[in-house]
Amino acid sequence: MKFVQSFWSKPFFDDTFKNNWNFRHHGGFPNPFLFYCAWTYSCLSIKKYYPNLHLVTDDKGLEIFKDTLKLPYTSFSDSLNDLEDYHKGAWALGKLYTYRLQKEPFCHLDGDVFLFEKVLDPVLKSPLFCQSYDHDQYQYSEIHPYVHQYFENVPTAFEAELSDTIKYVNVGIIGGSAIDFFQEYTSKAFELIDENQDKLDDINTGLFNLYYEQFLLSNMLSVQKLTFASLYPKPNDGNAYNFAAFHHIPHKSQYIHLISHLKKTSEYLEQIVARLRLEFPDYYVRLRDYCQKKAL
Amino acid sequence: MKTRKNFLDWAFAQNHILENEVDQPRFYSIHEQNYMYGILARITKGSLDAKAFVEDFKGLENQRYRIMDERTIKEIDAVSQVGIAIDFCTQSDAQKRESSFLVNPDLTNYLVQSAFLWNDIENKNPKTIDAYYAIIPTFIDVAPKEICLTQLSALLLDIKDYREVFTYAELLELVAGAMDYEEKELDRQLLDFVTAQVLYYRTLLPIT
Repeated sequence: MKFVQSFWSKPFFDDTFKNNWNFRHHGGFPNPFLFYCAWTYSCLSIKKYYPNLHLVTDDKGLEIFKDTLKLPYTSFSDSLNDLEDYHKGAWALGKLYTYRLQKEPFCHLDGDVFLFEKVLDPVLKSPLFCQSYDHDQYQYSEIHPYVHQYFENVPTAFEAELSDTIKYVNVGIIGGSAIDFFQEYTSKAFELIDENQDKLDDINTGLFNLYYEQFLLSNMLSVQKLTFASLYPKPNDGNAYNFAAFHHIPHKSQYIHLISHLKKTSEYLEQIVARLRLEFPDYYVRLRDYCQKKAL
Repeated sequence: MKTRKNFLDWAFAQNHILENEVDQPRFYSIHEQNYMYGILARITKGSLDAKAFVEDFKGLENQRYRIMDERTIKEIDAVSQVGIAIDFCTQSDAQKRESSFLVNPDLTNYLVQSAFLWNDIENKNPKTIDAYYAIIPTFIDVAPKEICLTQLSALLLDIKDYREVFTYAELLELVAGAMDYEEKELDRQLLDFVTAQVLYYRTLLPIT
């Protein structure tokens, strides 16, 4: 199987909504140094267990991750240069474009996901899989009617009665062999964006990204009655799972995902930096020297 | 900084300031000290009812920044401590139960106090109670870590001056007695607590 991560640099450098965990200035981390530490540790932790790991990015991403930090991806792609004209607030587009590029079974992992074992094996053979799901319809309760009221030519794939029977997915990891489905899903997302780029300055793009990435997927799976495998088999209702249980590694926790505000939590940021320095000192030194030179 | 978030949620809930008057990302940023204090001043000016609460919270923030400014942590030492903590976490539960610990003597430097409990609000005013927190600096350029010393965490106050090595079994016996629990009932919770304290906060140092 092909494992892939994606980095679209345009949202990274957008400081319109600094320090807001719904946006991706500095990748959602407090500063670039911590973002690069997290990304580096993510890559290296994944590569340890799933060596066939690739990066899809753009020219700036290549300059940072390939030329400067020298991360050991199996291959690098600059395909996200194609997104140059898209709105900087639409940070999930880089991920969706990457899914669209896949022509063979794949697993995409976010840059704030860290592995401590071959923990993905139970789901990798499934046609469709994701990290987890919940029944929290309220997370979309404002954005859903807003899009249908103010956006144009909204694809029918977004039509839904919000309900707690729908499984709302989290795509810290996402993938499978159902390539045709991924093509359909990503085309609907881009359809919405392409028809409404002019509306994105007026909207909370943080929530909007979750909407066209995760809500759309959840709704399509529900409408088409497709089953999917979930790394966390039970629903994450009421935050049942702790996705940052570093203290349970390795026995009860082998997967970490620094979702939203967790990217700004000092306890976890310290863990990332310390572990990177301890386990991969050469990469840490290279990264630290780069950041000091650039005063990041 | 849960206290800072709870404070702002309280201020909004009590209508001491409107949500659209506060740039929340700036308020929550440890590096926007002047902005945060400015909001506190605005709340005090706008509402006499809020004054005592704001003064108390301001005191907590003053202590937070004092600890942050006075920190002398060397990265190499901190990372080494994290390494020891990671090794502790890789042990089985049975091995952890056989472990011994020391209280980090720096803990007493990190204890702060407020007159209101900023971790128990829920749309009403914070409880009037002598509240203690541990504000623990970190070796990276982010906000200090924060522990509200209530419930099980309160045991850190009881043992903060203890300088002898103690075993997990001794700690379990002490806490079970104090909380009037059977040791079996408390063991899982205490073991998770000790593991988290060792790894994230280094308030408890495992003896290797």
